[in-house]
Amino acid sequence: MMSKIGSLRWCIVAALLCGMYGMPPSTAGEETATLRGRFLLEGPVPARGKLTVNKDRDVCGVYDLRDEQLVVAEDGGIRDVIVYARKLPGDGSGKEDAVLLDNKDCRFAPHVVAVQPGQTLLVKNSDPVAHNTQISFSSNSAFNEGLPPSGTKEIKLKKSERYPVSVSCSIHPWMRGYLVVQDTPYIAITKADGTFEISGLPVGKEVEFQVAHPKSKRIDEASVGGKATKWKRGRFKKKMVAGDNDLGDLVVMPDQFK
Amino acid sequence: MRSNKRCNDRWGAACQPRAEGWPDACLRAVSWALLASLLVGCQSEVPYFRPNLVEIEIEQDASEPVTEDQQRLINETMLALFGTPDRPANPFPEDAQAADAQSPLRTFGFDVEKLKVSAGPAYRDAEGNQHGLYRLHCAHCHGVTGGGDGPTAAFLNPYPRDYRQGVFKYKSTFGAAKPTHEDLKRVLVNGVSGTSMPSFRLLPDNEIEALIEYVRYLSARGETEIKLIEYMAAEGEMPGSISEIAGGFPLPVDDEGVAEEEPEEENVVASVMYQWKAAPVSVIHPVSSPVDFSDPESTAMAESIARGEKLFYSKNLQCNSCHGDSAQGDGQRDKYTVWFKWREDLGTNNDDQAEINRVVHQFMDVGALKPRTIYPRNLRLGVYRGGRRPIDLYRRIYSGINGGPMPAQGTVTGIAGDEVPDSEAGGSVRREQIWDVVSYVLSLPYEPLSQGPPQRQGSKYTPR
Repeated sequence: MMSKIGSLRWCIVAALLCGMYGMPPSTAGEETATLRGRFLLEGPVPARGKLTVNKDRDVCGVYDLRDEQLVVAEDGGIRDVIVYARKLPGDGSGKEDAVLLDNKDCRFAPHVVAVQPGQTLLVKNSDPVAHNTQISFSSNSAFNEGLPPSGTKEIKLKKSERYPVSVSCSIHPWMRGYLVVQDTPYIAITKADGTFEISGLPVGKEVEFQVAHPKSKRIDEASVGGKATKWKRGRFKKKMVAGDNDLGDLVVMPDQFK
Repeated sequence: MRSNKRCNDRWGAACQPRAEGWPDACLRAVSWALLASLLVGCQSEVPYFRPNLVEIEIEQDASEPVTEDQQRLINETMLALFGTPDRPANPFPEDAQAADAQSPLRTFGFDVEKLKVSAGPAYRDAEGNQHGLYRLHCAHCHGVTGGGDGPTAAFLNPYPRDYRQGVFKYKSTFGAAKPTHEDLKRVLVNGVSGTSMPSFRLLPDNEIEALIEYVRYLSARGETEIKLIEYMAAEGEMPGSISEIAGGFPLPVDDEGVAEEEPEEENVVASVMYQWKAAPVSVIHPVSSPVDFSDPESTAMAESIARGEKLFYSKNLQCNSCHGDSAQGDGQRDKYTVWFKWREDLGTNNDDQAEINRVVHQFMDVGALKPRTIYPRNLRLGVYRGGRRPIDLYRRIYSGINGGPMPAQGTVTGIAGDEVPDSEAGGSVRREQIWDVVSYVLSLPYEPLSQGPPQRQGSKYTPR
């Protein structure tokens, strides 16, 4: 018994020593930073118009399809605000997983998709009707291919795109989605409640973030913690501390989306 | 003149044709009090490359305003790289021989002699050679800058092509790849049926060749300008020095004369020229056809037409959703092409008429044509803009129409034709079936529509 406990103790001591001296210095900074915040729209919640479903009504007409250009929750939370670290490519890990862009219930799901250059974008048709996927790239080559029912396409992009690019379907003109192509794993898209979180950021480094939105392209003004703040070109810099870096509520005026 | 006013308001001296030095000439004329020469010299407008104000408007909407100084910087860079409508060569060196030797255009791979024959004012020299071909034959519709905005453009439907996007519709290459030399030549020689683009078959071959080279030059120039504007609006600076923007020339090429490696994005001109050089790699080779198109009365053809009809209305292709259940091109008429991307971005379902009016005015104020939606082709007419040979239709269906809503039904892996097995080729249907759709489409103009087409599979169209 005693000897067992003794050996266990030695193990713990050894493990502690390992922790103190044995590992490479970089692991001391293993601690990472997380950026979080919540985007809110000032003023009344904008109405989302009903989309005109004029094709394949038997399939698409059953859904209550609404305009998704600016989706705001009851409490003002803005969906689909894109926040990412500029000029901070990761170590390439995570790129091997494909990102899914589904054509489901006659809309693009999700509405905004982020993918890195070199990563596979898997476009899929889950509907019983044909779709096509037209992506209006600016830096990459334009893409427009048919997608029969249960069809898939794999797209690999070479370059980053400066702005979110629009994804549309020629057959169903109401369908509209957006694709963000940025060479960084540090990217987040706000959820329906307006919150976002980017984890795994390097500590102690000043990181430049870009704030974008499909409708306004850039968000360059917000009230941060009650203080009016201008972000030139939609960018701000922040020195990351270990653990939480909470920006709190970021209140955006409606004219940003005009 | 409207264009002059806009030009002066927004651009100050920046938009004047600097290389021609005519503002200087005007000043001298004033100081010498030569009133006659002032009247003659200053009333006629020397053609100049019009800055792409529409693109500036698009980009500054997305980012920061492009200042006058930044616009001037872009204009000066464009001038150094591409010269002027009268002198498509480096305008900076004084002596003509040095200019030719250092012409960046030659380094980019352009045939400067051909460009010179196309550029400049139209006249016939003592030997009877025609000069200024572009202004003689093209500029009134396509504009001096190749922006598809010549004086007659607003009256034409469809509008003339704006070369500056670097996007061409009727070509043999897949997807967004550039057209080949033969593709451009086919358009010039045959014209584009159903549009205002005439055939230039009567021009001697050397003149057609010169014009092809000049269209390529205007396109590469325009695409370079767009990329510079994009960069400037996003970053507030140029992507680099003029030589960095030009990029490392000549591009290293492989045995087949195709550039080996794609240049960096900052090497703007090199990136654009790489796309042109790489075009032949993307040519679509069809699989063998199951039918002989020279024998339209054969049983094989009748069977192919029947198969093609099913495919036309099938869930895999759904051609009828845009071309219409009766194939008259009336299934979908509310999309815009890439040339009206600023209008398309407002969304097809946008019912905010005030916003639409504001944006349309904003862009028309800087020279955009009134936006028009694109109509799918009426397949009953037998008029095929991209050519009426079966191979033209195969490629149209296989690759879609670049810049417009028509999607590709094939993939880039299947362009090598019979060399690639169907199992690897992908696409919405097997490639042989594309030939069946071609058979059906070619038969449509001859179908007795008034007697009512048969009830289509999956179609709501009921014949009278």
